Amino acid sequence: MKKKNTLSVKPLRRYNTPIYPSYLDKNPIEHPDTLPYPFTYKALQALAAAGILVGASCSPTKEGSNNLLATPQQEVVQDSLTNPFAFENLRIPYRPAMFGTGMPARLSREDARTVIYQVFVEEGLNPKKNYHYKNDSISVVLDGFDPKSNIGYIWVDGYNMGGGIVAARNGDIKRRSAYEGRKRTVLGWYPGDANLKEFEEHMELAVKYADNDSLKIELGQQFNEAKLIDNPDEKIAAYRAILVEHRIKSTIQRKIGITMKAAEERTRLARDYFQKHLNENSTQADKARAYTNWMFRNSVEQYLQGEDVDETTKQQMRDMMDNILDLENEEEKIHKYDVMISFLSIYRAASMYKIYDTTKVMQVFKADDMNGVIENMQQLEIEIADQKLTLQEAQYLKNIHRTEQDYIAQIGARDRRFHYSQPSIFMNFTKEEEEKLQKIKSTGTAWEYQKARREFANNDEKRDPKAEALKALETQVRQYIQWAKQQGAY
Amino acid sequence: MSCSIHQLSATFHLTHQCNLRCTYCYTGEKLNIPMSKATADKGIDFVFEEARKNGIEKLLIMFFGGEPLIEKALLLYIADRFIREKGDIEVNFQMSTNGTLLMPNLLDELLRRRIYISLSIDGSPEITDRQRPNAAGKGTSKAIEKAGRLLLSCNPATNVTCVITPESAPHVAESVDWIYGQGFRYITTTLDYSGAWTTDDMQQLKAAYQKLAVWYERKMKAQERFYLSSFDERIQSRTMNPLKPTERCLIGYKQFSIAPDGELYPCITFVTTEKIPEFMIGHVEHGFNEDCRDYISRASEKEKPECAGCAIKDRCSSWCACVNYMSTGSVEQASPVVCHHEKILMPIVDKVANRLWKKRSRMFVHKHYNPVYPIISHIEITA
Repeated sequence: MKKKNTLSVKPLRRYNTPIYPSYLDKNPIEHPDTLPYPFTYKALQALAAAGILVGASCSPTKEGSNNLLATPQQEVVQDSLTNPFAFENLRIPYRPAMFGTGMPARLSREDARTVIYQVFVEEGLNPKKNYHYKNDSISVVLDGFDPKSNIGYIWVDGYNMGGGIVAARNGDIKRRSAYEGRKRTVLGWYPGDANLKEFEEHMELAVKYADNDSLKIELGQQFNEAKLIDNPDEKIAAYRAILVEHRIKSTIQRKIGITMKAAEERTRLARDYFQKHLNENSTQADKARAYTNWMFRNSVEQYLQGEDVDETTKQQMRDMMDNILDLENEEEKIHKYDVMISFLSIYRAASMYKIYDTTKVMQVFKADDMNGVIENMQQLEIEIADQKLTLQEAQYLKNIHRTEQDYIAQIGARDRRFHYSQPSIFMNFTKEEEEKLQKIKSTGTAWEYQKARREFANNDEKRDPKAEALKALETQVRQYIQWAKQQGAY
Repeated sequence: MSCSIHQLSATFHLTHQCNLRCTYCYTGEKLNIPMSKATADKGIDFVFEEARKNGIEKLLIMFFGGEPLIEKALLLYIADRFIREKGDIEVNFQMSTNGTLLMPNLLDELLRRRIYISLSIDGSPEITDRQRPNAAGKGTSKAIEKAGRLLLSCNPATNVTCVITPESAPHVAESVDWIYGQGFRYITTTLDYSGAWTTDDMQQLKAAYQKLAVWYERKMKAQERFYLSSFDERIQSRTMNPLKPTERCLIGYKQFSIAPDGELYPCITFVTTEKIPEFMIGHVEHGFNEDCRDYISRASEKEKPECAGCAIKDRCSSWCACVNYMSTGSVEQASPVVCHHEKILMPIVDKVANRLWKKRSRMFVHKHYNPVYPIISHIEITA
């Protein structure tokens, strides 16, 4: 008898015809939009040297001859265009400035997005606004994306910058201070049998949040090799060697890792929460409700992170929080929330962040009714965090043209090219006036200089620094689209 | 296997002996029966005579075994004679080896004669050790890895043949990744067609191919240059004009094998220690038995009624006589292993290709539609 799972020949009756061209279709190489072969630089040099390109660029088909192979000159031109929105221009990780009056003005979210959208349209693209870009590795809301051409953009500012980005910057500063001027010592951390697992967790964080890629690779390799050592004594010795070599201070590293991880996680959780509870039709009241619920949950969770809160209490608090969130009656909800916060305050750790967050929530909730909540929310300029970008995602977007062949410009509000001086009678000079002033300053007297400043300040024909910043943005966006098209986006 | 009209491919099986005992080997008992010098000479004369008689412009001489490097002196002798006496005919050499006997001096000799070497590696060291033990039953992965490094240092475009068995099927993606990680950029995967494949094995293979599809897509998006037969061949079965029967290997006509004793067979598959008289198509002493050769060729080209109405028939290799023979014992019957394999692999490959096309992946477009891609990518890999 034939076994059930033996194989037999059975014709396949139906099969979906693939969409990529067959030998019967027109060869895509002959299409005018087809990009030249992406020679590696090394190969290009070798080919050019051997003179092979000249022969190879003769295509077997007349129409395809322009596209089949790029000539070296074409390729060089292509290489000369660079991505104007390099990741460094985002200037993240970012730490908000708490004080100071010398801050330059930055383009508003609205102005910048309007200009970028216009440039995209002028360049023949059709960007869909608020495009939810999603794959296995990322889920972000882009300000615009044209799925046909694979080109899009996201304006990165305080509105959509996740907590991890801020925390990472703080981490950088602390890490630097931990490294600088220290002797080559273990700096207080002694991995032993008792804390080996904990140490390994911290090392993983240290690798993950290493300053740069080369350190990340080096540290990762050393750590992974050490992890494979069977003999515990030898393993501990190897770990200590890593600490000595890289001068990692355990307390600093641990704090950086945990803060960073928590901030990234919080951003992701918040976004998931809002994306789940809100949709395109949500009203402002819905948003306010979702926001307060989230902040409440978040603030309670932050209390629960305290080391002195035992597991039973944590569970009780979470149950209580869920019960409160389920309440329909807003007044009752607010009251119970107050009670809970009062109860929790005994666990309050001395963390400014927690107090700041809680205070915000309290202010929002203290309103008499939902309209008050909305009003408070607006006054506090609270934004729904459903579009926050984590640091990891920003870094993923950096190379997305290589991994997904999509071209997404991350344009930062903190990009210095788009900063401009605040209009002021003392500062708002034209370029010519500034040049003249410089000349007077270097050759003339102080009196002459001040006189010229007053004179020029009264000049009616003033430049518009904001318009100049917008123009700079427009130019860079246009260059980005050209670059993306040449790189491979259609 | 396909040959152009002006090319003749002759394989010299230098010995039945092999220092490995691969679990899936189909060539029978490993007997120390090398090809004699006299037989080799007659074989060379016979090949030249056939080539000149048929106006062949290109000769592809392949060395096979057993393990051909066991008879290295004979191998070099045959190559030298072909080089000396080729006249106007373009002669190319290929050799398939397990690599364990490859030494730097010997490699120099092979490269000097421009013998293109294809190495057999079945995947990661664990899989290779399991599937390719030596005569003493010990794993050979270290020796093969060493040979791989040696070969790559001389020719970065070295081809690797990776045999997939029912046992190694779940690890195909890892195997390919491992081989790629070693630096090989031309990877040919092939099934053990004589293996006892079941539907469960095929399901596991399907899951492994799905993983491999992710790998393939990533590499393509990263614009890496490589050839992976299981995916690229299937994409080419759509993008390239399908081979007409006259363009195929024409089993026995444009391709034949010379066994160590001088007997002629239509393909390497039929050269085993246990002789198969029905597939002997002649002898180097007295030439082809035309009736026999004609019968086998016609039998293999016959329409397969079991494939009638199949939507992917034109893209499938059910015409391959040796695969059909290995799988069913008959050249006329389509192989159920091939049938199942194509049915699981083709949709996976087409899905990946569709995605890459949708994105207008530059590498995809050039790899599959640019006629000079094979040359350019080869130069880039070897540069």
